[in-house]
Order: sequence, then structure tokens, then C-alpha cells
Amino acid sequence: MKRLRLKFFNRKSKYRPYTTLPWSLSRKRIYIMPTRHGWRFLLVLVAMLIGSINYKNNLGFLLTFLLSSMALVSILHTYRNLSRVQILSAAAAPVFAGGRAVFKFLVRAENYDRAAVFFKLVNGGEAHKDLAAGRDNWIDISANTEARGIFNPGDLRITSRYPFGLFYAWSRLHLDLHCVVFPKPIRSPFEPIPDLSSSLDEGRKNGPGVDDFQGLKSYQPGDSLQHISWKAFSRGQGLFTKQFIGQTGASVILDWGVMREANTERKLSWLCDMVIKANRLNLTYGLRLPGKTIDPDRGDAHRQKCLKALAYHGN
Amino acid sequence: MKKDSEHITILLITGVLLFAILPHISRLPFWIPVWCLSFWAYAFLAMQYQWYWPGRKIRLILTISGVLAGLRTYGFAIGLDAGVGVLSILLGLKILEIHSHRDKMVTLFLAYFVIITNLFYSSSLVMTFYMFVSVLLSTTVIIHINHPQGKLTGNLSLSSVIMIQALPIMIVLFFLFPRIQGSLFALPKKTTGRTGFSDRLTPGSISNLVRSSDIAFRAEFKDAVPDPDKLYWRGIVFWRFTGKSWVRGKDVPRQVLPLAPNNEVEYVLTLEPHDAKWLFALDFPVSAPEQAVMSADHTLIANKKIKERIRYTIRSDTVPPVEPLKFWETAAMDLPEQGNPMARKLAREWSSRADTPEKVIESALNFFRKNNFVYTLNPPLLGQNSVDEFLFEYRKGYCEHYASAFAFLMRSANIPARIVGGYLGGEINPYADYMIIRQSDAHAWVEVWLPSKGWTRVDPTSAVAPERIEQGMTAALPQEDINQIFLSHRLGPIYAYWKKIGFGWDALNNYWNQWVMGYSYLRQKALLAKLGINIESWKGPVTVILIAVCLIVVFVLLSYLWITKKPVRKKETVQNYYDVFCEKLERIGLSRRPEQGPMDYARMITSARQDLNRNVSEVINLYIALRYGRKGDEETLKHFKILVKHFDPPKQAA
Repeated sequence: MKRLRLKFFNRKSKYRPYTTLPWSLSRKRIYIMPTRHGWRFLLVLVAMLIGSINYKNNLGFLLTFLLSSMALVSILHTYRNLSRVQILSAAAAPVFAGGRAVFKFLVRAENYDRAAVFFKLVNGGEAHKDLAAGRDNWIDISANTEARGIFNPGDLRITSRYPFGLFYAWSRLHLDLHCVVFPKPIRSPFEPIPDLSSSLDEGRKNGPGVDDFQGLKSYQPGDSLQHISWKAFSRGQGLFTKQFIGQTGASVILDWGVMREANTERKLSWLCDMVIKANRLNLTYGLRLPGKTIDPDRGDAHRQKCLKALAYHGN
Repeated sequence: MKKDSEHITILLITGVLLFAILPHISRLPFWIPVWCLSFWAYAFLAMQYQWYWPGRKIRLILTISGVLAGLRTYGFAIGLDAGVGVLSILLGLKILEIHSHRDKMVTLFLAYFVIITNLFYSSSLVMTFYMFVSVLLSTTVIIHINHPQGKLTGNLSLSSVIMIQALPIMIVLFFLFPRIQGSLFALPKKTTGRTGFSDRLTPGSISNLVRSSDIAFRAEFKDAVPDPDKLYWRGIVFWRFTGKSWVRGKDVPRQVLPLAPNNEVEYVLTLEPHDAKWLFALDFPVSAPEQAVMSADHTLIANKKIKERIRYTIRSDTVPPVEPLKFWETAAMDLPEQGNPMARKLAREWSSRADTPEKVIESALNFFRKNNFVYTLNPPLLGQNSVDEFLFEYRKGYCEHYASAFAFLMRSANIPARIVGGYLGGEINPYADYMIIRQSDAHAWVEVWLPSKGWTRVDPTSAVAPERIEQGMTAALPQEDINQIFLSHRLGPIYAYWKKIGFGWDALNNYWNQWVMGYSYLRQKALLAKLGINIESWKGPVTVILIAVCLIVVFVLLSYLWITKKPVRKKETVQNYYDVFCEKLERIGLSRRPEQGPMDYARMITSARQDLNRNVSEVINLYIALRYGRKGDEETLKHFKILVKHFDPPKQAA
């Protein structure tokens, strides 16, 4: 009794423990209820029963009991359709705030195929799929993100109405799902400060400079007017900025402290934009946030690290 | 693509509806099936060719006008017929408004409902099969609606599996669900024109009945079947002659005391509904069954019209009782004032010459025998003086003509006479021990009252066609009559087989009727009593519910085990054959080490035995392709199997 009450309490509680993956759906976590059609069908059966009783029609009884028995047996089939479905992994690639996070679930079904299994995230979308037995089934469910930080799409609800649509079986998994949401990049004046701490030897890397012409890139507000390719513009090709490579040897620091802006989120968005630009320009850059400093480096891994730091800021 | 699958779904739903309505088609007024089919066809064509799709308003107008027209057709009477008609009209339109998943589900539920309405009209074995098939198809479509990507064959097999799993539970519910006596509420019962005896005997009324091979009743004798000349099944006694037809007098008193039987026969009679009150029994019933009373003329009158198949156990005495002529029985001598003067004259002549009634009877029978009377199902139409015309002009008739004329002659000769209507004979079903009595066995005979014997049966037909009594109607009638009426007789030798199949089918029907269709409150009570449960005490129902629940749980568990069992792993044929191959090599001393892979093993063999190189490398290469490569095709597998089978390494190198 105590256990039962505890269980009930846990179900309602916000602080229930996460279900750890891989997880196989079983009797303990699959619930079954009639659907609206199920209740409607019950009405039809009752009408049939009353008719059969009244007319003393044995064939009518036979049909009524056949249909009720089939509905009863269909509960088993609905349950079977979810039973032992395994969720092996779940992951989502980081997105920028306002983008769609796509959660990818790896699902396997043992022994037999499952038909029309619905997956729904409480704070997200829905997807349904037939699960082939013994194969890897990928389920993609997308969810809209709003704020920077860590997005939690809520519980995963797995349901099935197969085969008759009279009953639905469901299981709700409280998974530790999260998606890192980077700040939404907002165009900002590119304001790096030179990294004074870096030695000359370390800085022998290519970065934007003034020495050699490298190519054209489409103009972005904030690019120096001196570098605009007026030749291209006069040919009517639009605004382009000439790019130069300089072996400056020095790296830059994107510093929270130097930005003249009071709003934290805006600052983070600007920094995010800078990180993206710095990465695109192949700069060696570091990030300095209150309480966290990332040493200058380059490459995609570094970019992710910096963006993550921005996403996690304040948490 | 999606649109196509939607079309298929709607087509399937329409198909299921059509299948459910089909048995009704002959019963529905002509325009309703036409209405349904034309809307369904239109809906499908409109989907296919993007035609105009009726809007909400038009559909509403169609619905209202359809329902009103339907109600008008049925004369605004509420009943089963009208209900089915209106339901069909609505289903005709329903296809036009299927938009959502919900609409589809509701339409399928309605299809189930149409199936049950069929059962109120017919509960034959064929209908039962039809019901199961419709349920199977409807269920397949329900699965399709809930899983449109699935294959239809898969849906069909799943719905069959579910149906098979449901059958035991259905049987438990059928037999244990508490039945009640009486109805919940009274509804007008439909009356359908059923064949059977009417309470009026006119020339032609029996010969019309005889054309039907419908079953009138079945009888199971407890002991031996009586001789053919004793198989007179009594139904109605006609007392009054109106000049044209014979009718049953209304003032026949009740027989209070049962007969004291001399030669008793006991049997169970299952009577098909004939929408009249009389029950049939072998001459002469000893006492009335529960639901009927016995009249003084030994006929049995039920309390209600027989609208459902009933079954009663009854005993009869084949020896007629000797009774005095009661005062009200003088009605058996009444004749209309006028009509048929020649017959009256003839009868008076006989009676003046004879000194006993027996002699008059004999003269009458001789008259039939000697004057070229013909026994036929196609007698000429008779006019005002029907007896005279029959006796002196046409001399062609069926049993009712003979009985009518004979009774008339007897009454004219002042001998009390009455006509008895019923059946004569019957066929024993060789596959089950019972007798089938059909409408074609209908017969009419006469009873006359003799001072020494009381009421005595005289069958004037026997004077004309003695075969009728011994061998049945088909032996007595001329061949052209039979061929004309009974098409099956034209088949010649095939007819014998046809008849056998007919008997088997009838036996099946009979069991079905008795064990399933005849199940009722009383039967359930008897069944439970056998199990030691008294349904009338409070414990009874509780026990029944417990038993039912336990049985259902057991069957549900069994079904659960069935559907969740692990599929049997496919025999790895490739591996099996490889094992055989290795065994063969082992026999010549070249066994594979457990850790040895196929390539390594092949190298080992070829280094030891150069002569096996070709065969072994071929087998090994195929094995590798089949086992580790992209699935080898059927041809490769076949090749591999043949090679392994024929592989026979000699002990010593050649």
C-alpha cells in the first residue's frame, strides 16, 4: 500500500527520476484506455445487445458477443504493439535560439514488427512510424526553441491505437532530453581586442589582415568602406568586400567586458555573432565571459565550445 | 500519392457497406438500392475525375429528402423494415461526407449495425457464415483505416487472428450470458409471407403449397419410425363446407382428458414458423404440449401464432380412438342448401342401395377407381358447382379435390364426414436420425364417422394413386408434372448426389438450429442445471459470472501467449548444409577445428588433399558468399545445397 502510494506520488511529482536509456517498454509502464471511438463502439454494442435480447435473436447475440470479444482481444494486440519497444538513444544537435531542434531517437523493436507507433514530445512535435523488427529505426521529432540555454522538450509520450483504434496504449518516459540552444546571433560591430598575452611564435597563423588579397566576400554592414570592391559594384554585381590575409601572428579576444550594452542576452547574441564571424574568417580567437575564459584557438570544435559557453552562460 | 490511398480507403469502406447491405437488397423498396449505388458510384467517380463535390447544404437537403421519401415509402410506420430502409438511405449519402478518421470509424460502426439488422430477417446457417465474413471484411477495413500504410493481406490475416482468438470468448458469453424470459419492451413483429396451411381449403390450395420444397417441420422419433401408411400428420380439421371451400368451424370444444393410448409413438417435433396457430402431430396426439391446447377433433391449437421455430415433445397413438358421435359433431353432416345436384343424386342412389355406411364408402372409392380419374398438380379451374365439375366433367385433381368431393358425397349420403389437412409421409435424413417433412408433403384426407368404429380415416387419394401413400408424392404424380415443378429432377443421375448433399446440409442446419438458434432461457437453465448450478437461487448467477470471468481470463491469457511468443528462428539452412559438409570431411579425417574459419579450413583441406581442391573450394566460396556476402539469391542457395548433397570425398586420394 505504501509502495503504491509512493508510486502514485512519484508519477505526479515534478521531481521524478529520469528514465535512463536504453529503456524497454514493459507492462509496468504501459497504460491502456479506450479511445473516444472505443466508447462509441461500446454504445453500438449495447444497442445490439438490447436488440438481441428484445428480439430473442440468437444470431444477434452471437454477433454482439463476437464483436465484444474481438474488441477485448484487440486490447492485447494494442498492448503488444508497444510492448518491448526499446528506446536506445536520444540526441539533438544544438541550434540557435528560435530554430527547430530535432531530437533523433534510435528505436528498436524486438521479435515482430510494430505498426503505427506515435512518438510525441510534450513540448514539441509528433512523429509516427512502423517499426521493423530487429532493425534500427530513427525517429525525428522536432521542437521549436525560444530562449538560449538548455531546451528541455518534456516527456516522451509513446502511443499506439493499432489495430482497431478502439483502445490506445501509451507510455510516458521522463527522459533526460536536452538540446543546447545557442543565443540567436545578432549583427554587431566586430569588436575584437588583440590578445596581448599571446606570444609572437604562437601567432604565426593566417588571419584577416592587410597583406595579401585573398578574395571577395559579400558585404556585411560593419565592413570597412576602404575594402569594398567598387569595381565589382560598378559592374552591377552588388557590394563585395575585399578580403586580405595578414600573418599578423596575434590572436583576438572576444570580450564581454568591452561591450557597451546593458542587456545580457543582447550581449550574448552579439558575442555569438562575433564567434561565428571569427570562425568564418578563420581567426584565432578566444572568449572572455564573466567567470569563464576560453583560450584562443580555431576550428569547428573550438567554435562549438565557445557557443556552448555562451549558451550555458549564467546557468 | 496520399490522395490515391485515400481513394482506396473510401472504396474499401464502400465495398464493406455494400457487402453488409446486400442481403437486404431484395427486401428493400427498389429505389433505395438504386439510391445507394448511384451515390456511391458518383462519389467514386467524382474523386477520380475531380467532379463537383456536393457541399454541406446540398448534402443536408439530400439527407432530409431521402429520409422523408424513405419514411413515405414505409407509410410513416416505425418498425424494423423502415429502420433498415432509412439506415440504407443514410449510408448511401454517408460516403459523400467522409472527411476525417472519425467519419470513417463511424461509418464502419454503422456497417456493423447493418450486419445485425440482417440477422433479424434470417438466422439460417448461410446467414451465419455471411455474418462472419462481413465482420471479417469490416474489421480488415477498420485496421486499414487505423494503419493506411499497411498491406491489406496483412490486415486480413490480423483480423482473422483476432477473430479466431475471439471465438472461444464469444462462445463463453453466448452460453453463459444470462438470458431472460420475455422481451424488454414490445415492438411490432414483422410478419413475412410464410408458406403453410391456411384455415381454408379450396381446390388448388394444397397443390399450390406442394410446389414449395420448404421444410414444414422435422421429427425425431424416440423409437422406430412408424410405417408409411401411419404417417398422417394432423393439422387442421375442416368442418364446414361453404359450397366452394372448406373452412374450420370455430366452435370446436376443448378436449379435456388425454387419450388412453394403445400403440404409442413418442417423438420430438421442430416446427418451422408458419404464422398460424395450429401445431402438427401424428394421428392421434395423446395430449397437447405445454404451449398448446387440444381440441375435441384432436387438433392442437397453440396459444400464440407460431412466429419462431418451436420444438415440442409429443406422444401419439397410431390406433384411432373409438368415440361416439357427440352432439356438436352433427356439423359433419351439414351441407349448403344448393349446389352440386349430380353429386347429391349419386350419393343418394348409393345410400339407398347400401345397407351399411361401409358399402357407401366402397361405392365412392370404386367410382374414383373406375372412371379414369387422374392425379395431377395441374387440374383445370373449377366453377360454381366444383364437386360436380370435378366428378363428372374433368376428373383431374390433387388430393384436396378428392377429399372435398368424397366428403361431399358422404355428407350427401348422410354419413358424417370431415376433411383433415396436414402432411403425409416425410423423408428420413440418412445423416442424422430425423424425418424431414416438407410443404410438398402437404395432404388432405377425409374422416368419416362409422357407428362401429367411430371416426375412421378414409384417404380417397389412395383409390386413385395408391403410390402416394407408400412412396410419396413424386411417385404418384405423372412425370411431366414433376419435371415441371421440381427442376432438380431433370438432372437425372446427378439428382441423387444433389439429394445427398441436401440431406447433409439439412442435418447441419438442424444441429445448428437446435444447439445454437434454439438456445433460450429454458435451455440455459437446463444446461446450468447439468453443471449443478441453480440459476434461480442467488448463488447461481454469481457462480455463472465467476465461471465466465475465469474462462475469459484463461482465453485472454492464451491469446496473449500466442501473440507475444518469440517467432521461431528461421532455420539457417546455409549453416545446416555447411555443417553437413564439414561432417562429410570429418569422416575422412579432415575435421574442422572450432576456431577455424571457412577460408582457413579450405587451405587446410587442399594442402592435405590436392584432389579435393576443386570441389571444396567451390563449396567454400559459395558458403562465404551466402553467409557473409550480401544475401545470396535463391539460385546460389540451390546450387550450394546440390553441391553439398552430392559431395562425397573418397577416403584415399585417387
